[in-house]
Amino acid sequence: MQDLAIETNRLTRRYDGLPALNRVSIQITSGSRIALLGNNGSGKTTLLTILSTLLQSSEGSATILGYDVAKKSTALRNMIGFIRHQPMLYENFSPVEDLELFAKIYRVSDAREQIRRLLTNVGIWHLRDEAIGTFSRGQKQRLMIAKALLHKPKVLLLDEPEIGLDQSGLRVLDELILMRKEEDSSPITVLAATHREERVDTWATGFVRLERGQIIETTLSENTE
Amino acid sequence: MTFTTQLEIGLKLFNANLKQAWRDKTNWMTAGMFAITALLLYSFAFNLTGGLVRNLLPGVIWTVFLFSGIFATAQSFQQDRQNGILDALKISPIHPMTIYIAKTLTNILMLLLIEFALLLGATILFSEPLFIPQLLLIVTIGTIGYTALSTLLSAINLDRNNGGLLLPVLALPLLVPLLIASVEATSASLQEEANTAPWILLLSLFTIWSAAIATLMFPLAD
Repeated sequence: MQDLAIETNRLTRRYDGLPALNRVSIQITSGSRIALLGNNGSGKTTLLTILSTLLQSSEGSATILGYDVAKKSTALRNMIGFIRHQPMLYENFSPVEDLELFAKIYRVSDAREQIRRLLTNVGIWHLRDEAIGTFSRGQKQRLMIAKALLHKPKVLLLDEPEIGLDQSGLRVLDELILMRKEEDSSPITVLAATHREERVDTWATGFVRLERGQIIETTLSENTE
Repeated sequence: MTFTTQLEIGLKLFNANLKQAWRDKTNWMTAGMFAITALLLYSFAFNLTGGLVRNLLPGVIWTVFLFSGIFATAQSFQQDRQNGILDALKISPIHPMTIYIAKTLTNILMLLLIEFALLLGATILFSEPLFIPQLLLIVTIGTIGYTALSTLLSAINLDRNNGGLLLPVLALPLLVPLLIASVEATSASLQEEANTAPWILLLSLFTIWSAAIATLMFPLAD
C-alpha cells in the first residue's frame, strides 16, 4: 500500500450546531493531485482550513503525513503550503520583503536565490520592489504561489487557486503546482478546491465531490474505520 | 524549534511590524493627534500653574496615555487579519507567543515614542520638569503593563463587530489596579520628598502579572 499523505476520519465541523463538514473520511496517497469539487457552501473551504491547522474540527480526526492536524506541530506546519482565495500578504511590503520574512520563519536555506527563482518563475520578478498593495488580484495570486512553494512543502492545500489568474497565470499554476514535473523522489501531494471543473481532467489524479458537507462522489478509497 | 530560533524569528517579525507601522501610520497618527489635542485642552481648561499642577498632572498624564494607547492598540491585529497575514503566521512554524510578543513590543515602542514626546510637550505647557529619569521609568513600566493587556484584548476582539469599541469596555476594568499604581507612582515622583519605591514596585508587579498572563493567554485567543 502506498504512503498516505492526507487521511481524515469522520471529520466534522459544526457552526452553531449546523454541520459545515459532516463525517468526511478520505485517504489521499502521497504524490496524488486531488480536485475538491462542490458548490458554494459544500464544505470545501472548511475541509482545507482544518487541514491547514487554522480551524479546529468539532469531531473526528485528520492527519497529514502521519502528523495529527489538531496538535499543530512545527514539523507538520513545515510540510504544508496553503493558498486560499484571499491573499495572505503584507500589503505595504514588496514581494521580496514579504518572502524574505517568511523564508526566515520557515528557515529556508539560500533564501535569496530561492526567492529570485520563484519570483522569476511566477513572472513577477520585475515587480520585486513594488508595494504589494498596488498589485492586481492576479499578480497577488502569482505571489501567493511563490510564497506557498518557498519552503518546499510536501503537501499543498489550494482553495480556488485559479482566482484572478489570466491564461498565462494559469500556465504558471499548472507548471509549478498542478502539472509539475517531479524533480526529486519526494513528490508534492495536492488537494485543490476548484470551480473550474473543465480543467480538472488535465491535472487531477482523482477527485472528491462534496455537497452539504458530505462526500457524494469520489474516486478515492474512503476510510471506513 | 529552539528558543534561540524563536527569538531570532521574533526579532524579524518585530522588525516587520515596525516597518508596517511606519508605512501605514493611521493608528499612530490618530493616537498622537488625540494625545496632543487632549494635552492642549487640559492646559487651557485648567490653567495649571505653580504647586497646583503637581496634584493634577498624574491624572492628566495617565488619562491621555491610556486613551491614546487604546486608540493605537485597538486595531493592532486588524490589518494583519484583513491582509491574511495573521493566518499566514498562524499556519507557519512560528509559536503564537512569538507573534504576540513581537506585536506587543512594536506597540510599546511606538507608544513610548508618543508618550516621551508628550512629556516634553507637557514640560513646556505646564512649566514643570517632567522629562526626568524617574518619571520616564514609571511611564515605561506602566506602558508595558497596559499595552500587554490591550494588545491581547485587541486579538480577542478580532472576530467581533465593533471590536475596537469593545476594547475600552473590556480593558478598563482590568487596567484599574495598574493605572492606580501608575498614577500614585507618578504623583510620588513629582513630590520632592515622597518615596516612589513602593509604588514603582507595585507597578512592576502588576506589569509582570499583566505581561505574563497576556502572553500565556494569546495562543487561546482565537
